[in-house]
Amino acid sequence: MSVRTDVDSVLAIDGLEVVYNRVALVLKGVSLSVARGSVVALLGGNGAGKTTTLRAVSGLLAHERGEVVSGSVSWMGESLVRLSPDRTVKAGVVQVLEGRRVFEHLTVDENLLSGAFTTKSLRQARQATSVVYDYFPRLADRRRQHGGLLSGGEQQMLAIGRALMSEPSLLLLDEPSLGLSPIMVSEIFEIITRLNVDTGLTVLMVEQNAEAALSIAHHGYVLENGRVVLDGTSDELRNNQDVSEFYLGLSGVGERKSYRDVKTYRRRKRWLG
Amino acid sequence: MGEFVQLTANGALLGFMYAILAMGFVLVFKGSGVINFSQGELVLLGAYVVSWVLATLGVPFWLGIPLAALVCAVAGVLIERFALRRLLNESMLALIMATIALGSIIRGLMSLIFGDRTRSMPEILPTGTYEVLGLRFSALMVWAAVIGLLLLGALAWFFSKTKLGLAMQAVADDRVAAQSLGMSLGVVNATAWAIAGAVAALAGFVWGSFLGVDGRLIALGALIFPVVILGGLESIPGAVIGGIVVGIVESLSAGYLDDVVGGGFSTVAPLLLLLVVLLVRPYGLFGRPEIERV
Repeated sequence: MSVRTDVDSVLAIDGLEVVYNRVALVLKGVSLSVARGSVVALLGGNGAGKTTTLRAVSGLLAHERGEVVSGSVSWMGESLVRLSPDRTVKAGVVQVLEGRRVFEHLTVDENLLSGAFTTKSLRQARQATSVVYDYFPRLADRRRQHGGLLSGGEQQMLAIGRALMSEPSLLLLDEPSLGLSPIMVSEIFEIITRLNVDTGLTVLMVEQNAEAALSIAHHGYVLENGRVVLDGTSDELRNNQDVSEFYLGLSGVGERKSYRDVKTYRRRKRWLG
Repeated sequence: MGEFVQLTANGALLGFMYAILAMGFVLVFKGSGVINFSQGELVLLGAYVVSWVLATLGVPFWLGIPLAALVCAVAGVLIERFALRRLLNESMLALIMATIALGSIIRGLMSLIFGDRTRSMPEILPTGTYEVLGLRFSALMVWAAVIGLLLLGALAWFFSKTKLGLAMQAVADDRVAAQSLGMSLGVVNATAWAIAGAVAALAGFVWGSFLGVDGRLIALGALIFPVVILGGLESIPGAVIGGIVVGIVESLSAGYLDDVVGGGFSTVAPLLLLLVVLLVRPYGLFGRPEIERV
């Protein structure tokens, strides 16, 4: 897989290899690039290395005993490898963790304020909350409630809003649709699109829900077993037979397909071929 | 009846003194997730430093106590930086073992530096008794309670109105999420230990004035557990309420039970209370059960 060399690529990952616990090679040379102001989806099954890729960008590997052993992650020309999470956030890159991870015992307001820890004073942060509340009016109604008492969708909004408080240029989203109702998923994805269009926020998103992800992404990468096996524009991916079969759950004529018929070896062969 | 009221009031005052002990423990747990088994030693350190600054160096108390608090805050930061930071992503058990080791080291260093002789705390706090409405109070304990209340107010302000206080709560809630927002665990943990060190200096001052300054202060560490289990490990107001409950239980059992069951029952009573609380409300009377959505 060759590295794309778009002129306005802000994030470039090249030949990235990540090892957990010094033994388990999870990423085996991932290369991808994200253009300024674009929404990029990272697709793939469980254990493909999607989350690891995000963590390598945001600097959150250490806590999982992961380590970048080879390759590069460059953000606007500067290397993010081995940068601590606080420096990464200051550089404008922030990750929304899988499973939302809101501060359950802090109020919605306090959750948001904590998102601005690295970049703003408390007073500046208080003013900045109004911007987030504009995008997520549901949160504004609940600003005094504890984060743990919100619904799953509201928690996801809070997690995204909290990350936005540091005014990032690149937002890393890990499974924003996880465990949410279809209505909530489309509401959240609409807001992500609006953020992208309004503010030029660049988004790199990991998703199992390929359909939802490709509906708002400009570009997509498919990861499998620690490698990028396919990439293309969202339309290209949607029209790709393998992607539609394995990730969108559609076969050629749209009839339902049993998982028993899925032959993994076939896609490996074809993509790695 | 008069005796009951008197015992209860004494117990409540004693409770504030327990609360001052427990606050340092709660701060460390809240801010860095460490169950600190060296809190007793930290208080001993505080007591030695205060008595050294006030008695040996002869610094006036209005300057000496803040100075001693500063010294202990620095000690707290050093402990975090050199003993615990390397264990940042290790298991709770490793952290607990480290604090036990830390306690031994502080204990050893203290007797090395200050010797084993009991030192007395300069009499800054008045020692007489106050009489109010027919009740008699030890002036020392009344002033200790005032210090406890001021400390409670200062910490409440810190947690609700400052950025670092907010960050400490966020880290206590979810370390990984806090890190993902760029909060540096190192900075937050160091802050927690610094404040805990300063609070230990105050605790050492109060308890040293009460009991004298020597290795026996370490035993106070064991009394922290009934207080914080009652009050909840991460609640500062809980530490005060837990302290008051423990103080009253101890005072009442000293007044009514020690003669009946034999001496010393009052020291066991808080621990019995601890057992009962653990059976009924494992997260403490004022602790919070994990919020779970269904």
